[in-house]
Amino acid sequence: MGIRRSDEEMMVAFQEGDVSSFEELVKRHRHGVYNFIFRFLGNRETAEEVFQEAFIKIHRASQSYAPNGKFTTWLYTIVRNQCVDTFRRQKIRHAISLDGNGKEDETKLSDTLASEDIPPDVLSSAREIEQVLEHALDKLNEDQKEVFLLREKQGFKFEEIADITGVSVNTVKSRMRYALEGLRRTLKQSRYRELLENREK
Amino acid sequence: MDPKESQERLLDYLYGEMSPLDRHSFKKELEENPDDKGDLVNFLQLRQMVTEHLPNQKAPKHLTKKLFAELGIRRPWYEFFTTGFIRPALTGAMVVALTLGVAYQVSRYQDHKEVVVKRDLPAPTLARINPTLRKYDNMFLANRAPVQPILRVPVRRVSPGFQSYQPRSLVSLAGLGQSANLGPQASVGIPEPEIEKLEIQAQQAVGQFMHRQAIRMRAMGEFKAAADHLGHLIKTYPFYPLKLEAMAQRIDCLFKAGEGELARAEIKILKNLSPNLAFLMERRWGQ
Repeated sequence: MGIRRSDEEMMVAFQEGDVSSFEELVKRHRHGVYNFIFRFLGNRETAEEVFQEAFIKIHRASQSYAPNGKFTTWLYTIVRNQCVDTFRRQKIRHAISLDGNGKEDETKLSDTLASEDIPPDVLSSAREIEQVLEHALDKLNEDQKEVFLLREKQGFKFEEIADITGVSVNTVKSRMRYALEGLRRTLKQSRYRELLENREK
Repeated sequence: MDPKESQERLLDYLYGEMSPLDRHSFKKELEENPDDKGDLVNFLQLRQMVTEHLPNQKAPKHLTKKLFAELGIRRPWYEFFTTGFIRPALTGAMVVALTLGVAYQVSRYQDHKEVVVKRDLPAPTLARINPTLRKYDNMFLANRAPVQPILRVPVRRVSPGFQSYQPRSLVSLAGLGQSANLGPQASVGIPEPEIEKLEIQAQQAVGQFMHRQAIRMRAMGEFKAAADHLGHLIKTYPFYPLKLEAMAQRIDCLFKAGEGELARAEIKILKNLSPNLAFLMERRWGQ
């Protein structure tokens, strides 16, 4: 209780040996970090593993944190690097496979999306709309996806994203632009708007 | 404008990373550029869709526990009571039992508590002391351990501005019995030291009573009467513990009553007893 300490203060305290500060930092940022990892990798089990690995790495690399820098930038640099390493190492596919799970009678989602004749009731539920968006996100390359997620979901500024990803601000903005255009194109192909209107009706 | 630069400005505008001045000018540019305006509208709609239909995922609870276990961080002690179903129920039952137990003990204590009633004993007058001492005439009682009459003499500052001082120790008990006017029969059957003690206590109590009366008079502006009363106190009870203070107050009252000469003379007497107090009085009255 009492005055809430900043992330930077808590990290310094952890560097000096206060383990409870690290616990507090984990509790503060666990949801944001998990959300980023999950949206990036698209698989819940893998996201949990990467979550563990990322925070263990943060715990062990705590002395490399420079107090004059923003903690969240440092945190997401490690998390993002871990995600990219995992993605490249395992070439993760979406848990809800777009190629079906083996059941012969199940309509493949990708076929559904490509078709002009989309039954309105197929994508009527919110979960299915979410799946469409996840599919659209999954179609982005990792550079565009990470920039999009860091900006849209985590709320980082373009300059901060540039620090996290290690590229220039112009490159970040360029990737963001491509990400938005890519999403728009994918959703347009899936007739998302029409389905959304049907759902609302 | 370069299309790439235009798109970057669009992103800055879309995500609020533009200064207010730039925003204003960019809005005007959008009005003249329908393509960019169309892109902006599309991007805004896209963002809205993502916000509404791509919710943030929360980290499962077990992840944190697993992480702390992996790192060897002990979980908080209270977590033992908050996990699962049975533990909180047991914890709740323990808390209820503890509360009932405490409440029971408190109620028992209140039933049997001895109420201490503070009584301000009236200042014993001479008439009252005699009946008290008369019981010591009984030889039977005299052989028992003497009863110590409790006379409450609350110590308080009777005159603001005066520094408190320790009452002078009584150096002579001679003639106390006569000065207190207790009468000859009072000493029958009572050890001498006990009589002296009783007389001292009586002096203190009566002196205090008189002192309080004088203070009341002084507060009501009856300075002459207060000075007389204090004079009588000092003369009658020379071993009154606050005698010096009473002398200083008498001097104060004499000055206020317009009897400066008498007051100055008494300052000289006070100087022999308490130079500091006399100095204070001299300073107060511009001597």
